[in-house]
Amino acid sequence: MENTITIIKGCRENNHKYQKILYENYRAFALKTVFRYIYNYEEALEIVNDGFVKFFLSIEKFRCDNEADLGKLLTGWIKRIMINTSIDLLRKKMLLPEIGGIPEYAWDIKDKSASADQMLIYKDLIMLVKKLPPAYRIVFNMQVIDGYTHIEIAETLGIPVNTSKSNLLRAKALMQKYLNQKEELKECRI
Amino acid sequence: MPHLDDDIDNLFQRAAENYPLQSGKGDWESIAERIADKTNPPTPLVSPKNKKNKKYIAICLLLCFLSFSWILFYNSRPAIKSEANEKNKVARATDSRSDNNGIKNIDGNSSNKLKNVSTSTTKDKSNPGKRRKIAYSVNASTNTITGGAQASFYSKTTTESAVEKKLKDIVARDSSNNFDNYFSATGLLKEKQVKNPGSKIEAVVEAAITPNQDSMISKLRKNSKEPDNTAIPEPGKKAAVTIALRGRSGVYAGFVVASDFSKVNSGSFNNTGVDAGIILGFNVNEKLSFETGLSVNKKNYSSEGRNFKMDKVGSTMPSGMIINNLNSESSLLEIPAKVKYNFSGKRNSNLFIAAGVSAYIITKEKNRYNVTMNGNQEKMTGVYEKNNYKIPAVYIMSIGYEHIVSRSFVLRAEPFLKIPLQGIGVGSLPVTSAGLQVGIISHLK
Repeated sequence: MENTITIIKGCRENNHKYQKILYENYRAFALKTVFRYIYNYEEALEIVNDGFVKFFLSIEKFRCDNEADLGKLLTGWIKRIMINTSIDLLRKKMLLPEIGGIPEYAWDIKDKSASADQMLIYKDLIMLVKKLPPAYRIVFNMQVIDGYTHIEIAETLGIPVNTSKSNLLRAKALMQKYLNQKEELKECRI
Repeated sequence: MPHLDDDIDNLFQRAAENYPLQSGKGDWESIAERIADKTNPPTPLVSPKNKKNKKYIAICLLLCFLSFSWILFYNSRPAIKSEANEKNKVARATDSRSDNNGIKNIDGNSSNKLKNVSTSTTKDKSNPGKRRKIAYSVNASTNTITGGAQASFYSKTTTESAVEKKLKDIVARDSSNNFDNYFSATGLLKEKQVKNPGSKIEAVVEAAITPNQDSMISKLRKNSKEPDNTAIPEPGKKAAVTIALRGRSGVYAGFVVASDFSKVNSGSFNNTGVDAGIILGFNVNEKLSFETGLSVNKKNYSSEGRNFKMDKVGSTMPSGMIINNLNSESSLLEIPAKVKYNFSGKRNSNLFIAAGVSAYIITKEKNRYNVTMNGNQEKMTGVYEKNNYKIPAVYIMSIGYEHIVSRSFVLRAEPFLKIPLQGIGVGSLPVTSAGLQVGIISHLK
């Protein structure tokens, strides 16, 4: 098993062997990040590939002085590239709301254990996030899940800070509404 | 289902990490192909600066374009007929006696002769009532006349030439020191302003020509040895003439901006900087001037590692490190001192050459190093903000063009070359610069 430093060095030398290892190691993580922003599963797969191309082409810029933090920094850097690539696509689509559902093959629920129930809850939560309008979804994802500040969001999206804040408030209000609807539906079924 | 409360953020974060998403099979082959396509050829070292360089180049080109447009505009206005270099040799002794028109020359300086008269006439056929300019000026020390007059006419352009001729007659008749006598004595011209600062003269007069005064003009002309073939203003028409006679001040100042292309040793001028500042000059005589000033410079240059001297920063660098190449961005103050030699040009323009030295005060230097350390290629950045004096730093050579755009302002375009006398910056890099400086200069009164 190659360690992260060796992989990074190999990637910097444009060694396809190490690039493939890094791609395989971080693809699932990248897809999970992108799929929160991009509604369509197939598009999310393409965005992940685009993001990795960007990553490998700009890996010279990746700097890490402390080896202990290398894993975290690398994960953060990949996440940032994936988020930016996703936002670029949403911008191209003028942040228009998506239509259609998510295919069942996109989900990976195999076992019927207790953790599977937890997984279902997580899946439902992510589906609620994906149900938000794109402008609200981006801000919600960036602020609540990915930990960006409103200033960073405003700079990334090219919007005023106050717009970012108001979008987040509306996103949370919508999310509350979706949760209430889900709760009511559950009670009716019982 | 949970409600949105303080813990909801954590819940969503956990959901984002652990939600069950099918990652499927990757498409590594297509990614590898795309990487291979984009990595050949390798990205040049200077690529991050390209956008900035383009911006500087665009600004410089825009300034050049505006400057030359301005020059062209002033040279090619359709209604302007320039007779600027018409040099009528008028050499007449000043007469101290009264003439037939009762014009008495108070000034007895008969040796003060006028040798050159030059005029430029502005005619606006499309708008006859518009004010027009006729240029005159007198330099008492050299007995030459150049300069401007401003006239207002109603209809015929012939009236303009009449006044122009008359003015020529008047100024030719008299020395520069007693214009006011003529203007006041004839009643044809009303003096508005007369200044006589030493040997330089600046006077503005206004002529109000009426039909009743035509006879006086004729009489005046008859006394002149010059042929009288000028037309007379139409009856009832009024003409006003303003003459501006001015000399050049010895001191001048201006504002300049320049593009700056820099290189180190045998490198190429592919890094663009910008330069803006003020200049201050002193005309020793018509040909020779001294110039100095202060400008803020932003220089960008690249160099091979072998040109970089480690004397100053070697102690701060890791041992065993070899600098392959570097890009540098330097902010500096430049104080030039140079001598300017004017070639005698046209009345409205001038060619000159200049040479001198320049001192640099480096206020900030940011170097991006590409280094080899323990066999690995690494990148390092060094920022140095300690002021670094180099006196003198470069030898300056330039050739330039000046164009008079108004009574007060001169537009200047000056391509230059700066050859290093000593290295600059922490690495003592011998930076050669070239570029184009444009500016606007005003002669101080």
